[in-house]
Amino acid sequence: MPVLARMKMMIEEELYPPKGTAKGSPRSILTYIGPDPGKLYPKTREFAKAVFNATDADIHEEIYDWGKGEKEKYRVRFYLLRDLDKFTYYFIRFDVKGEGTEKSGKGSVTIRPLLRTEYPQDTLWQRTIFYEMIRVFWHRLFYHNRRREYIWEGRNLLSMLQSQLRDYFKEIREEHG
Amino acid sequence: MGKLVVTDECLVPRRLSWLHYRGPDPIGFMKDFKKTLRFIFEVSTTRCREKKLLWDYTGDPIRFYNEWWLHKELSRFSEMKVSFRILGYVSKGKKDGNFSLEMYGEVNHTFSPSNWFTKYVWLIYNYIFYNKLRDRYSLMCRDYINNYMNWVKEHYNLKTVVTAEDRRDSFKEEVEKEAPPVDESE
Repeated sequence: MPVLARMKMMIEEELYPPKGTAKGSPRSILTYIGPDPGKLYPKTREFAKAVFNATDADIHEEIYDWGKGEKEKYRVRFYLLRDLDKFTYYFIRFDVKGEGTEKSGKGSVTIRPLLRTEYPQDTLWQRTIFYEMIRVFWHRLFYHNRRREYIWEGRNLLSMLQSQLRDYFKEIREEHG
Repeated sequence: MGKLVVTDECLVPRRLSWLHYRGPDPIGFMKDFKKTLRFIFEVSTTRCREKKLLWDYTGDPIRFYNEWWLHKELSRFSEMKVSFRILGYVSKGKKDGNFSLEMYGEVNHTFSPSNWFTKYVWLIYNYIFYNKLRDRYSLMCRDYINNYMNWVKEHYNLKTVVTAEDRRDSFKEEVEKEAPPVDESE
């Protein structure tokens, strides 16, 4: 969860390495073509919760757009906020889209992961130069490496999530023959 | 002396939640809206208020816009406010259409100090103890909003998250299937 403070300093880091000259922030897109694309959303959410060891309260569904009919069409955007310590959390955006029937269709899962660190700057003490000096010193000396570890751990978890999703894509195709 | 108000948005770091639906009976979930809010948010009827209702029946499709406010007292200093805005269309013939539901939640912590001393005592109390409660109240508010969203999804039989109760039931069924048959003769 974000730090409760009126004023805060935020350091944001992409979990995926930068794409070089390509435009936009790095993200991974998994595309699915096959039967029953409506199953993608609940399963993505379940896998994300399991892999990142998160609860329902750590997930915020921002957009839930579902069209019913012969052909189901949906678009869901949800965020996973996983606390790592007092200052840092994973902020991962999932965009799940799908369109089709139980027999055929297509869908995609887009993941945009971020690591966020927030330092509160509310009280007088937190705004003094001495506090800032101590904070920078502590950050450089200890916390920088901790954040690097979080990034590596996050990348590992994301690759695990992606492989689980790919396996699930296969599973749905096999289920429907 | 003035009063101190601290506002925490429930859906941080985002501000709002949206639920869009296209299909049959888009006004179905609005029937007994107040009753649903009462049960899901655990508040009395006086705490929910319909702020605005616009209903245009002249054309086809029928257009509607509705706004609701909900207040819930969490403690002596804290109060939760949730707002709902619904905009939708429903065709007269087929009775299908769409709606967009926008939800916003905040928790307000208000303190009216009588003098400068009580003001600073409260600020220290807030810094040391009340911050944790604020965090918990925000989570609670977010949970309420999620529960409401899940209720709407269940109403339209949309893909929802499997609840803990469903999991328990399916686990029970699996256990019962796998359990060896009881020999009644013994």
